[in-house]
Amino acid sequence: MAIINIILPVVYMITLFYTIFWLITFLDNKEEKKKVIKEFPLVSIVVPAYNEEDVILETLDSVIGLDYPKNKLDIIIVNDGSTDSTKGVAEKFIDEHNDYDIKLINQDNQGKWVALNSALKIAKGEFFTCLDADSSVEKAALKKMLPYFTDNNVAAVLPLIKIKNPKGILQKIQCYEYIVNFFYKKIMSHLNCVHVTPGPFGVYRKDVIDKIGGFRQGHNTEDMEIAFRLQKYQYKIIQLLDVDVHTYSPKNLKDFYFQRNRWNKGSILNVWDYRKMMFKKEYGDFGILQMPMVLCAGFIAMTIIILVLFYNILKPLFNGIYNLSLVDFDIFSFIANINLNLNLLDFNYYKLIIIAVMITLSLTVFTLAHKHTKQKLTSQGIAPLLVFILFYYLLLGAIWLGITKDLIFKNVKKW
Amino acid sequence: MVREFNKKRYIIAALLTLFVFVLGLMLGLVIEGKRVQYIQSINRIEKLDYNSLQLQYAYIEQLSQERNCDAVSKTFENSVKSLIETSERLENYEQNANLNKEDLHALKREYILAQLNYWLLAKRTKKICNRDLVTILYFYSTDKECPDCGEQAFILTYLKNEFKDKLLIFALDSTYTDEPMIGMLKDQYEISGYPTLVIEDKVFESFTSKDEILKTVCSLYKEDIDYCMDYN
Repeated sequence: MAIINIILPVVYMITLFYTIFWLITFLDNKEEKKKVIKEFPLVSIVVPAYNEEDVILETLDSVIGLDYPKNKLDIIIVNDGSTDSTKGVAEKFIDEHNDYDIKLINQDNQGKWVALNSALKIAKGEFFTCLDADSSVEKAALKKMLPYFTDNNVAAVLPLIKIKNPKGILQKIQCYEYIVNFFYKKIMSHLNCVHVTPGPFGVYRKDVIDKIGGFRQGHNTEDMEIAFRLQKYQYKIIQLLDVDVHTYSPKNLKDFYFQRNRWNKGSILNVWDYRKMMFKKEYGDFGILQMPMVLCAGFIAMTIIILVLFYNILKPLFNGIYNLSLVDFDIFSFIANINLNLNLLDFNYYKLIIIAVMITLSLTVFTLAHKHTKQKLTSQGIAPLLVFILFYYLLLGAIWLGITKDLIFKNVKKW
Repeated sequence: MVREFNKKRYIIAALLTLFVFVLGLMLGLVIEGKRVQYIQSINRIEKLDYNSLQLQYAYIEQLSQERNCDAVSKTFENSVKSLIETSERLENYEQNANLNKEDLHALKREYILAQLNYWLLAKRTKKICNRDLVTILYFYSTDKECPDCGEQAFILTYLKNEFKDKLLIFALDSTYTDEPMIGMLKDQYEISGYPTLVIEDKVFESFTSKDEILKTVCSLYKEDIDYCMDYN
């Protein structure tokens, strides 16, 4: 048990420190008063679409459904080389809504970041936002978000993203995951440490995006790369929890795996690209706390999961089976002689204390996250909640295993 | 934007982390202390049990009261069971101890002596009460040099479950050099490696399979024993 007995306390200390730090930060920041919009600046809304004939109408409907003056919306649909009828659906929509200023850009499939830059070129708005063609936004979103731009340092304001029509255990688990993640991002926002401005309806100040050079490929995570760049140029990114955007999430494990693989790989590759910011005082908590964590957390989690799996499950299981083989698998002899003389002192208190502290902290974070996103703890039912609590980290561990493999075997050259 | 860097927050978080960590350690210290106390309290009773048993056998022997043998044997078996349970518990506590290792280490000596006392007493009872039983001394080691000790112990536990009071197994930590008796026994049986079994007076060095042990053990019983049917 040597390795795990050294690694476990160290990781325990680090995790404890980060969690306590976040909780202090959260408690330290009182929720600012809700701001009210006074004037209505022009907002460009981009809907990039690649083969989204099924869902794009829903998205466009939610855009024109926004509670915002019609003549202050500059809507740009970018058809990124769709091979289905996305183009036709979009054209029809434009015809039907000629009271709105809607443009359609058709381009060869070049990825989302190129689509965003094409839209950026013709966008006229003071603010710029993108709504992925699989998402929809609440009516009051712009009215709630734009007032935060009164601070000139603010370059982006982000909504709370929720899963659209969650069905099946995987999507329901993701509901819980999103709630916790966005609560965490809210805390990061207090610290000016947000490292990703997710695709669905993050609102940017357009001149800032122009000034820093538009979107980049960013290892297929352009929304992460731009956040790092905004941090580099010392802009603020604000996370809100009272503006809802609903988005579809992966239905099956395979899609889930590829999405998370892309996201997490993007996060560490982007940290690596911007590594010069790390541990520099001028980048504050972002350089000192957030970047190292983004870089290491996944690998640490994966190592722990593997070690725990190996030492606490696989090894005892293998030993047990091997031992039984030595006595011709006479299990009944042991069952008949089970000693029920349980003694509280016999428990491995050292591990129990760690587990108890971790569970307490996790539940605190989990409960606070639900409270501040105004969700019920059992919003998705008890079974997905249990699966989330028991197996989510195992799932993440598996994803990081894949990422580690990819980084070692495929992406070494890019580093 | 000029970033605020809140040093105070880092310090508070670090202090709180330390506090929780130390609190855990303190709790551990308390529990370890309780463990030592617990073993000590059982040890006191077990010592009395041993004295009483010794007296009972002396009584039987001197006054030829063999009709009491069954009852005394039962007590003997229960005492050995309790002793072995406590020894195992103590071993487990010592392995997991971080702070009270020395107290537990000292207690372990008591248990080595107690086991050897019972081992000798068992040999006497065979004569006094004409008991048909086999004793095994199991020399193990707690360090990493004994990868097979876990498996050997598993087999012995299994056999104990099968033979019940017909088989007495005493486990001795051969690396415990503070107790000269261990050295004497190792010399007498010429033991150098682990695991080693001494079945009555036969020595089996290195890992011994269930069948090998059974062959020897079964040949030593005078009566027929169900479990030995295939090995006689």
